[in-house]
Amino acid sequence: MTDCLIRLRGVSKAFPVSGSRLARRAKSWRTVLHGIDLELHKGESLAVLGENGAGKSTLLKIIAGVARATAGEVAVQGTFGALIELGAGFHPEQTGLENLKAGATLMGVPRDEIGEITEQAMAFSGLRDHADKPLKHYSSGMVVRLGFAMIASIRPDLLISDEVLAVGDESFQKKCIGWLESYLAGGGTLLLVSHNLYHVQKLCERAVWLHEGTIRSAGDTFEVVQEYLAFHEARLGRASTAANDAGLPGLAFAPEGRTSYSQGETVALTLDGSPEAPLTCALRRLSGDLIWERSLPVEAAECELPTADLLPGRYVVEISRPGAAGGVTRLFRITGASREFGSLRLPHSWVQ
Amino acid sequence: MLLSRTEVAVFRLLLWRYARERYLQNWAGPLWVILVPLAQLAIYAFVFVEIFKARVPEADTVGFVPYLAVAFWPWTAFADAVMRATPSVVENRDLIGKVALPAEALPAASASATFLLTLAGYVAVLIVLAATGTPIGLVGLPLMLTMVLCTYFLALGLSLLFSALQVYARDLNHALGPLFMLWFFTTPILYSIDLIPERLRGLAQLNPFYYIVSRIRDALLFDAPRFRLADIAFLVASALFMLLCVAVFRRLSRRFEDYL
Repeated sequence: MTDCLIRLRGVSKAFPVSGSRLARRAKSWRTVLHGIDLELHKGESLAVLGENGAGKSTLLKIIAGVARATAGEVAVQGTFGALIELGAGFHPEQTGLENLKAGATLMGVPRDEIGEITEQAMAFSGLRDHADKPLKHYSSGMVVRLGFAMIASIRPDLLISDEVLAVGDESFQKKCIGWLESYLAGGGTLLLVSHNLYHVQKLCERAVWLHEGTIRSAGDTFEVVQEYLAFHEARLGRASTAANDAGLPGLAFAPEGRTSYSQGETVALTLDGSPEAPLTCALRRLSGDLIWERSLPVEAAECELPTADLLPGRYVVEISRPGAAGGVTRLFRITGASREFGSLRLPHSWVQ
Repeated sequence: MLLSRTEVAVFRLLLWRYARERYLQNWAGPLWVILVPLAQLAIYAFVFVEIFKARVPEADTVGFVPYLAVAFWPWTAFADAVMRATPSVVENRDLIGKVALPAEALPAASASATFLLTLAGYVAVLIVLAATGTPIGLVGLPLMLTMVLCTYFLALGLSLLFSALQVYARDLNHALGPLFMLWFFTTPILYSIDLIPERLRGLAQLNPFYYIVSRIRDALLFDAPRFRLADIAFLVASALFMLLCVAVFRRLSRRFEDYL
């Protein structure tokens, strides 16, 4: 396929841990990426999610050709611009203008186009007044603006961005997002690392979730983001799901084993065994936060939960004795795409 | 091809950057490039002629200062280029970690900038020598330039080699100072090869810089500007050495990011 800009096959990366630089064979290796498979086609936008240290930056560096994979195949086609960390390749002693020229040269812009590129970049960055100051007198946000403006002017086939948008101020961030949207609409390809899930959902169609160096989940951005959020919520609230279910009825989904529902479907639950005492049924977030609760009618055997007002995400349904900690819990998941965040959809209207 | 268009552009960019860092942005600007060697020349003339009363038997006709000067600046260009270029990869670890760039451009540009700036001083020195009565023959220029080109190849090669090794063995930088001092004093630059004891002379002639120095003196001072086959062989060998060093650098550069 010719429109495949990035193709990774079983890419692994290990760093030597040993202190001695002379040792060709380090005694121990720390593997940060294990057998990553990834493809990105022209016109696609992919986000990489993951905790700090999950290997996101290393993955981007391998794709950008700055780091070399320990094993596996890396194929990258076309021109690409990489914004990896602050002010990539800029020199603190040189002026903003000189750095723009140098950066464009490093990105392989032909000599006769450099003047035009730097002119456009200066206009985009809004830093013309500072063009002749050395970069060391720039604030970190200004450096990022310059870097982004350079990439925006060059318009590479592929744009690789590692969490740089976060440094710019609000208006520049908006300008960047706007530019990225037009870039994507014009057929550009984006690989984005960001902890800002709003940016991720706004810009990227697909996402991969990198967890401890492996791809834990990949696919539609909304689904991956939800799984990722659920993971964090579960980790924070894990203690509350420890069950203390003595004397409580069994709880199952009907049909049994089903845990995933698309938005609007009805979640059907069956209670197995008769309750001996008054019970409550609760809906919680994975973190344990209560969304809704009511006491169970006597001799209830089935429960139907319409999900039209639940936003996509993972939830816990819980049967417990009133006031007692813990109960029988079951997890389920609502899938779907939504630009609303939280747990519940609330009726609202806008007046203009 | 050895170099892509982008690599050439990056090399040119870095060359200019290094040159500016050295001298060109100072107060007196590019003047230092010429003033420093001329001041050095005056000091050597005073110290060696007035104090040491240094004489070289084979150079009685031309005098000690020209004898020293024609050999000294090629050596300085060579040694300075290598010593300044050696830490260039480690110093630019930030650049290498963030931008995909041909890493060999860093030592190559650093060495070239130093070499060219020193060479500019060399030209000034030669002009002053000629103006003060040293018979420097223009006929010797082709041979002299060929030897300078050999020096450049050797400087580039060693710069690439050492700058790559420096990544894995940071101590190398400290060893280079004494090493180059030893090399300087064992090369007949301040003295003639006749001063070396007979039994060691064969060994001294193995030093590639001995060959360069003696051929430059032949070309500029001793009226023997005719090319020998050995000169061409030396040029080819220097170029091959440089290419070998490029290959070694590229091999070593694969693991740079792990050690920088």
